[in-house]
Amino acid sequence: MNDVPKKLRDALDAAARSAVDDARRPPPFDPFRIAPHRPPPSPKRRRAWLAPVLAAAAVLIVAAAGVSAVRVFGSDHHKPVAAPSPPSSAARSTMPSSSTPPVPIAAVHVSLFQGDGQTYGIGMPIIAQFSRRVTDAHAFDRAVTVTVNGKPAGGAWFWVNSNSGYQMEAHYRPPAYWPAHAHIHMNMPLKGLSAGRGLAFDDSLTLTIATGAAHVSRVDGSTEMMTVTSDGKQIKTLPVSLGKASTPTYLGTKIVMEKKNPQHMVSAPGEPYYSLMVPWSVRVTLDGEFVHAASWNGGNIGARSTSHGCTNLNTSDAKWFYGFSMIGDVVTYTNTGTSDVMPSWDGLGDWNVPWPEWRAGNLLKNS
Amino acid sequence: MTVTLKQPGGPPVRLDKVGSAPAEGVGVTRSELAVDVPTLYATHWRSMVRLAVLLVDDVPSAEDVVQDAFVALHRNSHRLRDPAAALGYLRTSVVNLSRSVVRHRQVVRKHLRVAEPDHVDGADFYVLLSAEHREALDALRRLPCRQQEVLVLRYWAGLSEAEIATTLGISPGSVKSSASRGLAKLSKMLGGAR
Repeated sequence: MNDVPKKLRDALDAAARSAVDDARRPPPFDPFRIAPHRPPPSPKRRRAWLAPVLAAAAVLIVAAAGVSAVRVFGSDHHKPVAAPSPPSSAARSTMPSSSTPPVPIAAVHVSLFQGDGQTYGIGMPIIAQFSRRVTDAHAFDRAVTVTVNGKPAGGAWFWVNSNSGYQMEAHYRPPAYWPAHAHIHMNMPLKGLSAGRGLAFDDSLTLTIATGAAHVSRVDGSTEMMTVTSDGKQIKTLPVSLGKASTPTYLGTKIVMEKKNPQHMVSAPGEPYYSLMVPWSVRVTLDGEFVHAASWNGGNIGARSTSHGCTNLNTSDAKWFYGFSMIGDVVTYTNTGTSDVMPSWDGLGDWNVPWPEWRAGNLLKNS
Repeated sequence: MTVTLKQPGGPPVRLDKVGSAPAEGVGVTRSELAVDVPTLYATHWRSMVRLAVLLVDDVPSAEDVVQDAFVALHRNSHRLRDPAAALGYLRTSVVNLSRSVVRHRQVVRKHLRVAEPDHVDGADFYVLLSAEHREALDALRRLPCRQQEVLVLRYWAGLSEAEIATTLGISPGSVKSSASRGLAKLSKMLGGAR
């Protein structure tokens, strides 16, 4: 018993060293760093910290330049270090230093959910994430171009609150699903453009992604069947069990967000408690609807709706569906015994917003 | 309970002179008039991230916490009468911000119909640990926040009761009771698992 403090100390020490080894160097300060896993700290704080540091850095560079200039004065082949270039306009606009009057322009940093070279299902919206709330979308809307196989995509941006820690998000989708096996290219030359009064974008981005085969699965609660199609051809019909009357499955069009094998699932507050590791789970809503294996529910699959909202499949079917699914694939639900449609914000509910409403832009007006 | 305090460098050292990790106790130079945040960042970043990671369990969150703590230090450095107190200030920020991260996570989890796994081992660092160490950490995670903080500051950072009290803004008596209760529970859990 007496060795508990020692055990604890050893474990803590081992964990600390394992997490951050001795060779790990602090990251350099990046003025526009966005932490992908947490809401960025309020830019005000970051700026307050950066301004003096940058100012100090500038002073050091000036001093260094001055010293080297003196030292090498008169010698031709040694040019003094290039005079410290004035801070770039973006930097200056966002980081008032004590010597210059502050310019009331704040930086809006844009990052993208998607990564270059990835392949997605045909229902995947392009997602732009903002470090600060944009108040005017006109410049953004005019500047950003999206092409599919070289032709304008004809889609629109829909401005929403972020539920992944950013200050705001904009989702881009065409009126109908993307074509299958297509190349999508986006050009986002935003740097320096206005994001509203006192706001400017501080970066420019491009994105090149592709779509895979057109996977559309239709789940019908009246028959308890899921019909899976690929590029328009029906390839499987799988029996399912949907949410029971007290926890119905949402209607509407859902998009595959995530795949996990296994996925830990626990009951919602107010439900009888359960906690399970569920294999072959494909996530379709943020609040926790999945298409997953439910070996315990065999007798009801294909017969009646008995789940907590998820789409239960037999294990072999779930394993197949898991392998088949890509992020961005489409799963539609009809006759689930409720009139509630999956809200647009509950994951990728983007296709549940009618096109005219989508085109208008939601929180911000599109031009 | 008697505590033997591990101090690097012999004679009792002031709080502001004690590094978070015994191995990295780099003090602050007294002669400096102002708080030199970049130097502090360079010398204490690693020990602060380690402290944070022991409280929040994943490296990216820990790095963010430390970043925010340095930001806070810089904003408030003019209010520090003694530049040497910067380290204590930093440590308090790291502990408080880590607690916010942990609580935020708990709230998020409560509101999800289907939650993420209860215990997210954010990085592979946890997997690399021996079973024995993992067992001890798992047990620690089951204690209340306050007790975890006190135990980490005492047994990993090697702070005295008074220093822990200052860092957490609680009375020395609370430090003592938290430590002994936490340790008792740990003994039970670790002993019981055998």
